[in-house]
Amino acid sequence: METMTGTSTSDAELWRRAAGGDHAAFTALFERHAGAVWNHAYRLTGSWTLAEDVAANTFLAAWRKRREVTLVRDSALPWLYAVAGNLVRNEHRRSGRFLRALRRLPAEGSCADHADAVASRVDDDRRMRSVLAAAGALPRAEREAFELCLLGEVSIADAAAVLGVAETNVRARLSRARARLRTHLEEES
Amino acid sequence: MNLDLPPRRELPFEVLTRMRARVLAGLTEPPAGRLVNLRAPLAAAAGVAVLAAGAAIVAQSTAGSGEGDGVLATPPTTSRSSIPRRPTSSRPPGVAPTPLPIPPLDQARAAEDLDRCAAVAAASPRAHEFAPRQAWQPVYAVELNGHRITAYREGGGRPMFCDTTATTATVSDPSAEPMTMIGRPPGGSTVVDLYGLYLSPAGVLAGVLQGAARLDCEVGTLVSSTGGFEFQGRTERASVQGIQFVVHVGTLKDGDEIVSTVYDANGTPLSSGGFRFERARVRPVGATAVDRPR
Repeated sequence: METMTGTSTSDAELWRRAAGGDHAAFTALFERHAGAVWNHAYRLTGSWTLAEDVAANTFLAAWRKRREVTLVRDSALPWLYAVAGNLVRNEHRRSGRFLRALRRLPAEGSCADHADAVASRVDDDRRMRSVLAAAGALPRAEREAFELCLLGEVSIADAAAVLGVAETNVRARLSRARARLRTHLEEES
Repeated sequence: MNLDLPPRRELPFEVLTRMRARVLAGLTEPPAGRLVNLRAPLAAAAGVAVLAAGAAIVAQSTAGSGEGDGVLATPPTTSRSSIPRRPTSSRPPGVAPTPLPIPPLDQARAAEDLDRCAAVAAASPRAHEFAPRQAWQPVYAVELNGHRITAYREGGGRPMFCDTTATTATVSDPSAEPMTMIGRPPGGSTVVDLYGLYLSPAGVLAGVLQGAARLDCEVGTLVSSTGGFEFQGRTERASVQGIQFVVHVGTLKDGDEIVSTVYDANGTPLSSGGFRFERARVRPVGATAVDRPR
C-alpha cells in the first residue's frame, strides 16, 4: 500500500503500478508532484485559478494515458509538464474561449488580507501574462522547448527525451525562442 | 535573457484538496471522448463552494500545535468535491449535529478568568500586542477536559481566547495568522469562512466561524486504499456563539486530519474542508504561564 506521503518508491515504479490500474500508486504520484504541476500550470496560463484547473486536468489526462506512456527518465515531472503544455495549447488553439476566460477572471488573491501581497500577485500575473503573450507567437516546436526548459526549468536532456528529439535540437529551439522573445519583450517595454 | 518569472509558491492546502478531489473522482470515471475539457473547471472555479450533505472531504496539510502551545500556522482547505469515505461517527452521513449547548455566561467567573489571562499577557514579552484588560469583552465560556475556554473580543472586535486550568492561564496570539479551515476558493466568493486562531497542547482548537451556525470536526487519519482514501476517526462538535467557536480535537499526532463540516441553523450542510496536523508548523500562543502554582 502506498501512503500519501511515501517518497521512497520511484516515479517509474509508481507509474508502472498506476498503469496497471493501481489508484494508490497514481495518488502517490499526484501527492508528490501536485505542487510542481500547479506552479508550472500557472506559468503556462498566468492565472492561479486556471492553474488549478490545468493541473487537475493534467493528472486526469495522465491517468487516462497511463497505459500508453512509459517513463524514460527518473521523474514523471517533465512528461506531466508536457501534458500540461499540450492541454493549454490545445485549448488555446481550439477556440478563443480560454483567453477570454482568462481575461474575465478577477484579480486573484483578492481574498488575502494583506494589500501588499495582493499587489504583488497582481504584478506577478501581469508579468506572467506579458511573457505568455510573447511566447504565444512562437512556432510550436520552439514554444514546447520554451515551456519545458524556461518555464518548467526542465533539463535539456529531459526535455529532449520527452519531446523525442536530440538535445542539440532542443538547444537550437531554445536559442531561437529566446531571440524572438527578447525582441518581443523589448518592443513591448 | 532573464524572463523575471514570478517565484514558485507552495501549493495552498485548499487548492490541493480541490485538485485531489477532482483527480480522485476522475480515476473512477469512464474515459471521456476528449482528453480534457477546461471549460467545466473554469466554470467551477468561479463558483461558490457548497458541499453536498455528508460528502466526504479530504484535506491536506496545515499547521499544528507546537511543543507547549500553539497557534495554527499556515494552510487550509476548502472542498467543493467529494471523495468516497466511510463515515466512522455514530451519526449517519448527512445528518447535522445537534448544537452543543452553551451555558449562560457566568460574568463573574469570566471576569476572573480574563483577569488571569490578562495578567499573564501583561507579564509576557508581547504585552504591548494585547489590548488593555478593560477592552476585553467575554462572549461565552465552555469547559473542556479541565480547561475553561473563554471566548472574548478585544476592543475593535478582535476575537481572542483565554484558556485557564486550575494552575495555568493561556491567551491566544493577538497576531495569529488565521489558519483557514474552510475558505474562499481562488477567484470565487464564499459562503463560509472558518479559521483557527488557537490550538492548545491539550487539543483545544478555537477560532472564527462566519456564515454558518454549527461546526462539526472529524479527527482522524486518512488511509489510502485501492479505491481512493478512507477517513478513520471520531467526530467532535464545536461550541459556536457569535463568530467564535471552540472544539476539543484532542491530542493530535503528525498526520492526523481534521475534517470540518459547517451547517446552517437548520442543520443543512454548507461546506467542508480540512487540514493535516504537523506539529513542527505550530506557532506559539500569545502568552502562557503557571499563574497558580500548587
